[in-house]
Amino acid sequence: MLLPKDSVLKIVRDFLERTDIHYKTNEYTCNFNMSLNSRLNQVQVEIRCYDGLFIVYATAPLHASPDKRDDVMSFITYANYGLQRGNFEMDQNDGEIRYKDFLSFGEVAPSSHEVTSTISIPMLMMNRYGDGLINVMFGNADPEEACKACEQ
Amino acid sequence: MSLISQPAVMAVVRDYLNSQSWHFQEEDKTFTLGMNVKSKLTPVRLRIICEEGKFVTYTYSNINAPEDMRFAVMQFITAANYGMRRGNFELDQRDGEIRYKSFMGLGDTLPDVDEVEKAVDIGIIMFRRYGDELMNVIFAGADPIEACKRAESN
Repeated sequence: MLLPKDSVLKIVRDFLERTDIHYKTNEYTCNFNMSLNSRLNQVQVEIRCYDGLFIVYATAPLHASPDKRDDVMSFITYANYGLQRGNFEMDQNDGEIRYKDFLSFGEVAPSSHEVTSTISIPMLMMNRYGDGLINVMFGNADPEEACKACEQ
Repeated sequence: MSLISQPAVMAVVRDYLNSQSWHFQEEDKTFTLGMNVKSKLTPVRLRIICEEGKFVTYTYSNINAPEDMRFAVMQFITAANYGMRRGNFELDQRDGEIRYKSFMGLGDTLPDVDEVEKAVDIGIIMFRRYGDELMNVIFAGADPIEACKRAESN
């Protein structure tokens, strides 16, 4: 018996309110913007609540243009290799870039540590790799080198 | 708050593997085992790394992407990863290694066995789902995006 999505939504909303994040709710989704210390400037965060789990997406404000999509794909593939928690995604149809994390807990309410980590990680990763993404999208940065520079 | 200890995480994973009667090796903080999947790329190898408060499961393809097919494989896994809930495919662009990663954060809370099962098994399930079309991309020149769509429609 999975924790019902009403309870999952409450867990997420309690966290956002505790951390003083201003958000909007649409059914079982919470949305807010978060500023970054990177040239990406900010991300749009969406938290989708389901029975027994929630998924967090931090979406970049910029899409990869068609002529840069291969390089961006290579960059996120380098970044994803070895990342323990979550991953970058790119929609190859329109170049949308986002970071996803996910917390599944079944019928057992998750620890506050895990709720905090799951919601924070996508924003932290966009912050960490944001300059590299910009350098690949708008400069001529080599994807592998740009990724290494972010990880130093 | 105190995270679940690494030995306790090992115990959770070990209990699950034993419950399935799977043969595995245990070394330091890692479990390794082989698994047949209903796919052309069978078998796969699992490596489960246990740390304080978490464990990560890597499921490895038996086949690496050859250099001339790496870009196509990258397109395939990027398409597969978009919208994937639990875990993701990874590609090492240096040598073509393909694997599925699944992370389980436990914090200070012991998980229920269903969640452990999902975290460990998901890579096997994903290679079963995507494995044949991944092989079609590598060996038969299949278009990666169309191959991914076919895998997802089955």
